[in-house]
Amino acid sequence: MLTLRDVDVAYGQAVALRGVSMSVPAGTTVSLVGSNGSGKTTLVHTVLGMLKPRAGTITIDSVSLAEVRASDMPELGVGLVPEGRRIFPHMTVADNLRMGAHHPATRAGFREGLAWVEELFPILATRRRQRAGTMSGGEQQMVALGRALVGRPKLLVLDEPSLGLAPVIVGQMFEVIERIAADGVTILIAEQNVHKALSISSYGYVLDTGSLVLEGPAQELVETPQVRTAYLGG
Amino acid sequence: MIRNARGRGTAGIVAAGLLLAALPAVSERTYVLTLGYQLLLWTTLAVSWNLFSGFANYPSFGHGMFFGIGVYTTSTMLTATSLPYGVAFLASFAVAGGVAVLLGLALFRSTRFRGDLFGLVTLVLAFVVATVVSNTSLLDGGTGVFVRAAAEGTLLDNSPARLYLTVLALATLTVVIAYLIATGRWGLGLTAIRDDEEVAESSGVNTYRVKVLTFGLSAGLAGLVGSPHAVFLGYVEVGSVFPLSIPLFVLMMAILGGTTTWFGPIIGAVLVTAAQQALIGQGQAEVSQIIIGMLLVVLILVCPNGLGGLLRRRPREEVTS
Amino acid sequence: MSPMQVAVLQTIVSGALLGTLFGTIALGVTVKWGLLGIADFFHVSLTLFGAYVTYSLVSVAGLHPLATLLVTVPSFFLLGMALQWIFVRLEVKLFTSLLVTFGLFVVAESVITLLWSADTLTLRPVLPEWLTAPVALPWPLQQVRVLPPDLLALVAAIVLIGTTTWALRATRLGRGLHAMHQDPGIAEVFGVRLTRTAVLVAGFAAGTAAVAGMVVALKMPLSPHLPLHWLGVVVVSSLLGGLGRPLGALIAAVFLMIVQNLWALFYSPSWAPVIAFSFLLLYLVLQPLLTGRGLRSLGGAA
Ligand SMILES: Nc1ncnc2c1ncn2[C@@H]1O[C@H](COP(=O)(O)OP(=O)(O)OP(=O)(O)O)[C@@H](O)[C@H]1O
Ligand SMILES: [Mg+2]
Repeated sequence: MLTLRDVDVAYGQAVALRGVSMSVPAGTTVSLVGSNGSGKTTLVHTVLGMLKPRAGTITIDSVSLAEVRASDMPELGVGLVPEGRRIFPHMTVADNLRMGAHHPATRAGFREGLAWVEELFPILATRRRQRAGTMSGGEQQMVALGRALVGRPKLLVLDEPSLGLAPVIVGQMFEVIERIAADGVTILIAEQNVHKALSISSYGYVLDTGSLVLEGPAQELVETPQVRTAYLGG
Repeated sequence: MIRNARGRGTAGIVAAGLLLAALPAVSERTYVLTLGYQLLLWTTLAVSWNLFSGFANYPSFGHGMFFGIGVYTTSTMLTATSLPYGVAFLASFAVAGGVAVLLGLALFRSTRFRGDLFGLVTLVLAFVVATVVSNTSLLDGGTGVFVRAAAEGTLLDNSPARLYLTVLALATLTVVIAYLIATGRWGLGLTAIRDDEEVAESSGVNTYRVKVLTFGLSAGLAGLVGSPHAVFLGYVEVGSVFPLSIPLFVLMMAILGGTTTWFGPIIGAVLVTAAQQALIGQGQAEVSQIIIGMLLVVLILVCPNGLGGLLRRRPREEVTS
Repeated sequence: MSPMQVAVLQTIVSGALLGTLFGTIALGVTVKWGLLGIADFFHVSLTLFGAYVTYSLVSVAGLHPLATLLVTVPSFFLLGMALQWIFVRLEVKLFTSLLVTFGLFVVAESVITLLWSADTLTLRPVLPEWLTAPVALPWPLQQVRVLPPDLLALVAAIVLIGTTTWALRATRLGRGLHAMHQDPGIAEVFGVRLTRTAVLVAGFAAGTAAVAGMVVALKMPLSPHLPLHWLGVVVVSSLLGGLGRPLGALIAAVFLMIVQNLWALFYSPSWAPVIAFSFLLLYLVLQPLLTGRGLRSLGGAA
């Protein structure tokens, strides 16, 4: 589904990703873990076409990203839940969700997508007219997730969905992500919460200061000494 | 023997001023002196604007208004009172500076008044002041004021050489002040405000006081140079004292020259004034006004950080978000 | 009715109708400022430019006043798009845009003077009678004198501001525009074409300037320094109405012009221009005391 080959990304002179190669096969959930500043968000933004790689290739369903505008990502079937949610704060919940099916390619499926989202998050159906910026952090994360799902993406990219949420809410959020995966959506999840992320993934990559340092099936990765000491506190 | 660097710098600026003071001895021609007068007038305006608006990054559209307040303070005191010119001169500083201090005291209480909003409020106030002046018969009343006769026999006495020397003295004073601020602790405070006001406040800068006082000084200097300008004009009227082109040119001069240094606005003022004078020589005034205006617009569009910024332009970030 | 009552009524009606014209001019300013981040003083000059072009098309080329829109609206649309495209390409920031459009504003006065002279021009003598004969109004306004161009201003305001308000709230373009204003990066990955949207909106704004310019040409004598007198009311009503909200700007403009005209009736007309500014300063000072909502909480779909 998603393949990166030898991808380099830089902000001006500062190199943020170096020779990253990874793949997310269709129908699987893959995590990308790493500490603060390791480059997870940079990678996510690159996959979404918001940053142009300096070198290397990215393909989604064998379409090269080099030829795709960021504004055409929905057409490729990619949905994003950005770091820090980044919902549209002054718009209503209903309008935020509509923005998820803004692209002509996803517009037709909006009703169906909305029904699915409101089934996953029943609370959103009761808050349609609320300004999204006035919602609680957990509710905003639901809006962000809902916005990415109404377009019925084939590939869902989540950037730190657990950020700033209470442990109980994080648990619920990951349950929903598993349900989404069970519906056949391919998922790439960038997380610092290594344990949670790997527990719902089949495969994982570890990023450290811009390079991939470790990869493997999720279960095995949790057992490796590096991950245990570095991220799970022993 | 002047030992420290700031002392030497100040002495250098004063020496340059003294050198320029020799101009009337070299040429008595009114044209030459008037050209010199224009260059120094715009230099004073641009440098004094930059003191606050540039150093602290609070771009004001009100500098023309403070200048105009100075012009009208002098014209009123010369025509309506029999006080000596020196009093009118100092009053121009006090009134313009006082208005700015009052404005600053009110506006800077809230940090909302930055960027476009600060620019707008100062512009709006310029309209208000122009309306007040043209409706108050003591000041103008819409008919204009003849200053020439009243200025006869005073210190300036309508003499091009004396006007030139007065503005030269003011320009030197303004540049020295800008230099001392830029190289001293006060300047550090302004730079801190420019970079991040909250951080500045938490690192011990009394941002409110610094902003109010610097704004007042900046405006006062503009008012001060308005004083000889009232005599230079001879006939003072609202339309020619408060045109929008004055704040526009002042802003563009300072920005083009560079707002982070004390000398940047001098460069901008000299370049723009020279270009303007060269163009005015070529036929229609209207056409030259258009050309110079468009030139400035394009320059600002292409290098919003000044001509200096053009040289050390950083590579474009490859970020779309 | 006593003569005084008639005079007051007349003042209110004329003020309100003039306000609708300023509301139409403010439409472009408030949308561009609030949603594109471009503080466009030049829009006001563009309106006068539209008026002069209308003047020439009617008086020289002999076009029907309403038919001039077929020429002016598309060409202004293109002009607005071109300018915005430059702004987008050069990644112009809000303050730079303020400075640049302020510069263009000053230059425009000279350009208009150069092209049409500084003299006052008026279309009135060449207008057909249906555009110059007073309109008969129903009770209680039968003694109030209103001319067809005044009503045209009202119609233009209702049509343009009505459509824009609806489009901003309920259309895909409007939603995309709000999203782009609130978070361009995220809006883009959900399918908003940033450059295209900004350029289209700016083109539309310039198009409304052409319509307002046509009304101006029919309604009042033209002279190059008019924008200077309009700028205050237009900017103040944009701010008072809440940036990005054309309906708010219209209401504010109508209110300001009624107050200003009443002031001129009872006190000195020459002080009237200060009214709008006083309201703005009052609002800016009082605003923090009012609710948290205000100038900085721009945008908002509802
Ligand atoms: N816009 C930018 N300009 C310059 N450098 C940037 C920019 N964004 C990120 N960086 C740098 O790139 C590196 C990777 O940042 P990134 O945000 O991708 O990390 P991250 O893994 O997502 O971290 P976190 O877990 O804190 O979100 C960091 O060193 C960061 O400082
Ligand atoms: Mg991150």
